[in-house]
Amino acid sequence: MRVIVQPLWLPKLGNRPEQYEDACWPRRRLCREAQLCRFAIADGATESAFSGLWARMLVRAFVRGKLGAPDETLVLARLQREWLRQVTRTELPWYLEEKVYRGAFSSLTGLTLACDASGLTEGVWSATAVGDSCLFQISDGRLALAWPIDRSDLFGSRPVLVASVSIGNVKLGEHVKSISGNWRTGDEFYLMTDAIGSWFIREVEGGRAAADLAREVDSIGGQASFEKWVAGLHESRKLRNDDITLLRIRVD
Amino acid sequence: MAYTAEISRANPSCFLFLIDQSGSMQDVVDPANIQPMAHPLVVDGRNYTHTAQGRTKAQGVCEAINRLLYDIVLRCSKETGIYDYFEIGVVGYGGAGVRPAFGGVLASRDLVTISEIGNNPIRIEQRKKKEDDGAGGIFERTVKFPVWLDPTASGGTPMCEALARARSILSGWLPQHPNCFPPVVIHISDGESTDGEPLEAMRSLTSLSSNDGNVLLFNLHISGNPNAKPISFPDSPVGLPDQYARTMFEGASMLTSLMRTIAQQHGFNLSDGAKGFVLNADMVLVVQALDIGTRAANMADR
Repeated sequence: MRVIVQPLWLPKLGNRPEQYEDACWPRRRLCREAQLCRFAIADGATESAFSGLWARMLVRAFVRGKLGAPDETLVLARLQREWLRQVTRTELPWYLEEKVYRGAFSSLTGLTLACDASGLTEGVWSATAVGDSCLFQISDGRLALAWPIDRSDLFGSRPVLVASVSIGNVKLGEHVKSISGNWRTGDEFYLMTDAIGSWFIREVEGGRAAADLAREVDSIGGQASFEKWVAGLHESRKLRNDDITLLRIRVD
Repeated sequence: MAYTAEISRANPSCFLFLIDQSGSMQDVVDPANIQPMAHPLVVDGRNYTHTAQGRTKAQGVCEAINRLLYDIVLRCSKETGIYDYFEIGVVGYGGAGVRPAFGGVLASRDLVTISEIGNNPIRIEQRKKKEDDGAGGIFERTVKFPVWLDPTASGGTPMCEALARARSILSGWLPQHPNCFPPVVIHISDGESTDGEPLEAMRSLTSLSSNDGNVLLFNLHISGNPNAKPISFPDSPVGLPDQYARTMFEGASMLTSLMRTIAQQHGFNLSDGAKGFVLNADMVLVVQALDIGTRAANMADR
């Protein structure tokens, strides 16, 4: 299969790029022939510190196939130790010591695409999610999947996220969601963090055709036109001010 | 619509605490081991005949405010530093007059940014804290607890002067922040004003406004009146024990819709007319009221 991926991301209005706390892979446009590809998106929680780092670590671990594997608990423990090592390299003031103790939190939604044995034009996909970062599949111009959230009123509650400290993950297992399905050539997948994901669902709920929405998102060229498009959504008050990340994945 | 402005570093808001530091604030809240004194004392015109163990009102109020400042600093801090969403002032009034109550390098400042507060406690204490382990158990850990304010209590209760000082501080601040979420003034007192009728001064304070609404005044009254039953966020003065409590009720602002929502999270069932007034509060209620007054703000750039 051939996948073409366009990542688009922006820190929230008023923030500098280094304050951006979402993460995704790939970070640059990608065009690849492969039997199996993994993509992921994560949204570091704003109320915790060092959550952007934690989000990047989770995304990296997922695309390397480390999360979702049988030894996942051990992998998570290793990631947590690494996060702690990195954030405590220098002496911290009292408030950051306390923030580090309480841990960083992030959502994670990962997508795996694989060819089936019969050929290169069809295949299977599977996804794993914790939290409110969204996956959409558009097939034949129809919205085939909105997951793990499919209603705009379900955003805004406080979802369970993956914590960088073990005490925060005591009940994590109950909140890991998985799903799988099939893809065909021409299908498009979108991974979106919550602000842009909730806009997408609201538009669908408002009666817009998924194909029309997909055309709008697909017509965004690169980063510069993405910034302009997002500014327009802010102006029309359709988008909450937040870090925004969108991965557009087309299977050819 | 009022009280909807986003709080951001570009558009910060303000909390101003007015703390009664008069002599009666050294009374013990829940006295234990009460013993008659061999030689009774008269301090600030009050006759002390017994000793008792326990925390004084002044200690309880200081503890509540230190804890609140700790929470606000944590809410505003990221790995890149403390974001200045708020400027904060603490004005004490008592025998030493009306003056800024911060200690250390912040002493004598009317308003300081939350980053200055986070970085400049008087001292950092080590305290034991019991916590839920997430699996049904409890464990104890040592935490760093910064202290910005130490208890003090003496003399009379110049409440009118304190309210006028609050008005003066905010009159200077508001023109520089015309679109801010309106400042919240939290006034904690246990006694009767000794420098006049405070209702007019309260009304004058809450007549100040930004483009997002009027200054909000919370009156938290720690009453010594034996007939005073605890009352929180009432919508009418019915049941208040004396004229003094009624004045504090009349002077307090109505809770905003977001404040009522947060109050509900604390278990209060309030009417639309609920006011920011708490009578005969125990310290738990003081802390809850502080939380309701200060969390009802919608921080934008986090």
